[in-house]
Amino acid sequence: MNFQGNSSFSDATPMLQTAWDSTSIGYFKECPRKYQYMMVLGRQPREESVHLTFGLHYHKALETYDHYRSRGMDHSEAQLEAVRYCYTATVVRLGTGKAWRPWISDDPNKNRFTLVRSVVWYLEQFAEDALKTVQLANGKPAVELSFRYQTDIPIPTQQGETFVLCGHLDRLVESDGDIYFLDRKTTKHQLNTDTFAKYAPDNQMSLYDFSSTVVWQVPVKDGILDVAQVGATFTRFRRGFLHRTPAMREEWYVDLSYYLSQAAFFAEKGYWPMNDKSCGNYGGCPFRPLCSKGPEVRAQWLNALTVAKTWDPLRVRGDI
Amino acid sequence: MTDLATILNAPTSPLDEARPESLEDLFNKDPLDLTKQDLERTVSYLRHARETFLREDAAKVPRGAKKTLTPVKVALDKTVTVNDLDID
Repeated sequence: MNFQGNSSFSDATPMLQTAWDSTSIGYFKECPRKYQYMMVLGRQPREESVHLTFGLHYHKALETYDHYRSRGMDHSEAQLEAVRYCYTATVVRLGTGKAWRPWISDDPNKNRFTLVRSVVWYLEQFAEDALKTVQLANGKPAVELSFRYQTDIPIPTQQGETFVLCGHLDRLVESDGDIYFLDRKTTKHQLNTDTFAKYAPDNQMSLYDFSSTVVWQVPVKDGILDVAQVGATFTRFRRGFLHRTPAMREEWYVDLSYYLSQAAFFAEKGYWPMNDKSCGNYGGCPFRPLCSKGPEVRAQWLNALTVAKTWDPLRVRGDI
Repeated sequence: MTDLATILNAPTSPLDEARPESLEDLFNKDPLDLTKQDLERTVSYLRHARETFLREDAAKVPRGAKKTLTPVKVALDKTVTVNDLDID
């Protein structure tokens, strides 16, 4: 049995994660203590992240469209299925009867209506996209791609074993004979040249870039990112390229090997230090209320301020 | 492809002002009971809302900038090639 029932953790060293996705790598790089709460202890803040929920639904709706299109459905019909997904996925069923309630968001930019609007507008804008989905060697369309592979990064505490990298990509696309991986993001911020500068470097995009070349064994030229600026009354889109040279890919991978070695060290010691320079990032860490308590009483606050929720990179989509 | 003249000369339609309220009955409906017509109505409303937004957005003149309608054409031109993409 893996640690806490999480299949991404080692059987031999209970608190050692051996399979990593961009989310867990990101938590660890950001703050080992945050990583401990989220991954090792399987806790999440009580308050739902509207941005996470919106992003997951947005991805899934467009994935639904890609899925139907790749199976031969025309644009209009596939668009209706994406809209149906938006309506259906954003309600909570109450009990076993017909009762339900909608997903409630107090964010004027990210709610049920702006989700449906953003999906419809995206599909209107890119209805006749020049980017075509790649057909994989096994004949299947390269959409909804989950990947998992053994690296050559050794696990210091486990003789002869290496770490696994895993994740989930939206699509591999082709244009003018070149292949790209495509991902989608939403933001409330205005779209400009800085929008794409934020992704160089970027842990998630670097993992996708590195993995695309490893897993599908196709020469991936670049990444393409479709970013949606979601406002209360509009959604704007902008498409940009993410470029990594072979040397940049190698650098990211070497850096990762150092981080994973450090993660193995912390797991062995059973201690993940706090990075108090990250507490104010991204509007404030959701664990800040917990970390602000004294270490002698923090365990008692854990249940009050967080809920149990296991994040298993080998089972769930871990990034948006 | 919708050309610029068609957009700019389009008669005003009640659908142009699609707001959340205009689809309120659909958002209040159990999603399991939504019909294909309901979904088509959603797309139709939002498509018109998008065209209105693009028209109004194009009409906005940034301070100190010369008025141009190019963004509307670019945004509605669904046939793009890789050379048309923004490379940042």
